[in-house]
Amino acid sequence: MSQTATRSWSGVRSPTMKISLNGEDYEAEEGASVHGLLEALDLAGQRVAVLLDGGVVRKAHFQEVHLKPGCKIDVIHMVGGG
Amino acid sequence: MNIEDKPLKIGNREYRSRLLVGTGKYESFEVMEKALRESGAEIVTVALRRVDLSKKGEKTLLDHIDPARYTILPNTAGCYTREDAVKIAHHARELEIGDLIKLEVIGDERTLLPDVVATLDATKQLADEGFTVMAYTNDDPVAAKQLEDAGATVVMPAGAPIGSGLGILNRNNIRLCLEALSVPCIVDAGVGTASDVTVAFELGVDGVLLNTAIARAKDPIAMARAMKQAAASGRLAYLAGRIEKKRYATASSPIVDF
Repeated sequence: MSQTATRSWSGVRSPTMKISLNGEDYEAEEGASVHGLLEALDLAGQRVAVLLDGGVVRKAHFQEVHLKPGCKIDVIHMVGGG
Repeated sequence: MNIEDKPLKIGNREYRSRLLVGTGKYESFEVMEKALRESGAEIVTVALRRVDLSKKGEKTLLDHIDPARYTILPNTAGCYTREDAVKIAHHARELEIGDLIKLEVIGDERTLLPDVVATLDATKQLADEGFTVMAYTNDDPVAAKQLEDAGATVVMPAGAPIGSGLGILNRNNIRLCLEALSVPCIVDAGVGTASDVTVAFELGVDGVLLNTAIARAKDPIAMARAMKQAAASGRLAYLAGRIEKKRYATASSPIVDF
């Protein structure tokens, strides 16, 4: 899944940057925070763990931690298992 | 005489149900939800995986499991090294569902039997970090005791390989594990049908964890109910105290005296 740009309310395209998201290329809003990314994915407020370049980002820091181009994000949640 | 069972104590929580049920391999979330309810389980296991972003907006597992109703026990399924298992445990901690972790470090892809050495190392590390470790292991009583000494809160010997449905393959070893342990012993893996669960409880185990036997049964909801009854029956038979096994007969009535 990829988008080439995001539009703000005025119809002006915000710049994007390429990151790796769950192993796939993804165009994120430039300078987006982790929280912003989760919102764009409809995952804000859900029980997820977020890794940035392999390291855990604590939930308390989702708003403060901003993504850089080329960074690797993994969003992890619970699935069925024994 | 009325036999009252004590609750199953794990960490600082108590549970009336001694059946723990997994959430994998069901044909649908709806079937899973009903089967879990029929089983009476209070603890359910989950795995951790990347979100499938192509399924944006679709219902997820947590839409069908109420964390207020169930204790959710995340596992480290799919890990073949201590490092990976520890990482998954750290990820699980971020989900804010408690500090319980079902530790699995697999040693062999075909049998899914545990790498006990790596499990021991991971247990020590995670216990030191404050996790409540429930350690999946094989039915070796020496390994079971080592895991307890390493800090496992619960030791979970496999009855048989995961998903095999072979039941309790070595009853004597499970008995030896029970003798070796002072922490709860919960048989995990290999259960195929209700009698396997009854056998496990009759041996004296504190709990049984199963997934495939319910999820892949032809009627999972009926099987879940059967498992609940099997657990209750096996546990009650254990508490009631069975007769000894004897080589020869002992008559039920006195010798004829006319």
